[in-house]
Amino acid sequence: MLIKLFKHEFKATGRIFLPMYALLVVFSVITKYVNQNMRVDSLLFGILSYLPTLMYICIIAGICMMTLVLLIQRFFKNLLGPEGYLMHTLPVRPWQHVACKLLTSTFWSISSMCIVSLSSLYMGVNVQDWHSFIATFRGMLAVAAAPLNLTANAFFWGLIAVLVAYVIKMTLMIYAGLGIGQLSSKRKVGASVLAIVGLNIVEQLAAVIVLVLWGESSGILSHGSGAEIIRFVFWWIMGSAGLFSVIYAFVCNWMLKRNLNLA
Amino acid sequence: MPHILECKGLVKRFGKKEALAGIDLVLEPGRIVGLLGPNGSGKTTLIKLINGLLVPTEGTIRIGGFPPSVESKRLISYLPEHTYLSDWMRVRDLFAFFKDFYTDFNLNKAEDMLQRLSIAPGDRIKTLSKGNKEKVQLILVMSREAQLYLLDEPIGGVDPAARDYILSTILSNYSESATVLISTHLIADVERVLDHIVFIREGKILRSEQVDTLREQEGKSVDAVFREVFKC
Repeated sequence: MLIKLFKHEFKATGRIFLPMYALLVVFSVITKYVNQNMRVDSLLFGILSYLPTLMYICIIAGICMMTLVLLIQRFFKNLLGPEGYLMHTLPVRPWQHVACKLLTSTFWSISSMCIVSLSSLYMGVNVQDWHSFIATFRGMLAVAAAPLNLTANAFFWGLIAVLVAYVIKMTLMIYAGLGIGQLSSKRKVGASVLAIVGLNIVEQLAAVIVLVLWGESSGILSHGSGAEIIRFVFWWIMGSAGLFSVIYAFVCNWMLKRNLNLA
Repeated sequence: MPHILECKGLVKRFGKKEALAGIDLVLEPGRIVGLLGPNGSGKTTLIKLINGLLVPTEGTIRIGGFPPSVESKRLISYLPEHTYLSDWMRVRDLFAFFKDFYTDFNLNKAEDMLQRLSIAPGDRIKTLSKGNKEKVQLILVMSREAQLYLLDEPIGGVDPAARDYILSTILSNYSESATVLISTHLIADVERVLDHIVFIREGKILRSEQVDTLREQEGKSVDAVFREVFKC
């Protein structure tokens, strides 16, 4: 059933993301071509030459906005709004709905980051400079990784792991907030926003308190070397993201299973 | 004969408000049952509890022997009061969706019903009128070969011609061994199709019996008895 949910969720979201990605690719090419080849010899051409760049920036902003909006909208409308009457009467368990929405949303969030990054690289780096760019990038990673006794590759994948863990945790926090907000009989949207802000504050406070108490009691924060502190913070980020993800997933599942409040 | 639906001591409270106050109800297969009561009597709450959309405060529910769960959802075909269709989808997408999730969905039956309504499978839901959206939803629900159909106000807010279409669709498409539970307060329109009635008021069942027995005992139509029982 989870695979069937994925299939329909990708269909519902892909119809929005894929055209936007295609638009970004097209405008990346156009903007780069215009910037490299257009001769600005009048005010009009000067203004016109900036139009593709403006469009390009708007598309990037649109993709970022759309990723966040769809993350919220798909969960809220599809599971907590009128469409919930269909979704929650399918022979599917509540955790499968949460897993489907989470993994699809994470996939699109990471895809959006990748496509925006790749497009920016394409815009900023010429093909002939590509090898020197990669070498410079690897060098920067190696410099950052050296105090940690890590290779550039290990450091890079560590950063990616932190990013993915945070995307998953943030997504689940938003879902948990929406699940709590839907309990309100009249102002579901307002209550959801308050719940998300509230969860964020509580999480930040709890995470910082644990960081300080644990770091101080183990002596790492006061006496540890720079590498030890960075390693400690890395595992704290991963651990707290994992712990809060589990808590938020439990809240989401419980809300959908025991406290559904469809209008 | 096993019961398709069995509710024992069913209570549902929303805060201090008691929507259902101890429902005991048993339905057997092969019946068309009218869940009849005025607005706010607890009809929708009872249907949502059977569906698993709500959790009872007290009491138990069994659908074909299962508590509300994935197993019971396989047996139930539910038509809610509101439209639940996604506007961006085409009718054929919805058919594919139902076919994917319900093994008892009869695609040929659905396509046949759709053809008779002159709605193209490629039509997007957002381009359909409100009436046609409701009809497509009814086609989806009645194209399943389910054991229990829960129809919440299927004829509420539609014109008399559409009511006839809806009732004839229900009658001609449910399987003989299935039970159809129709919730409504428009008694006169559904009376002719009912085998059994359940009168509900303020979350309590006032009466649950065969339509023929009720008519014999009271010497009146169900509509007339309803008006008497629920007189303001």
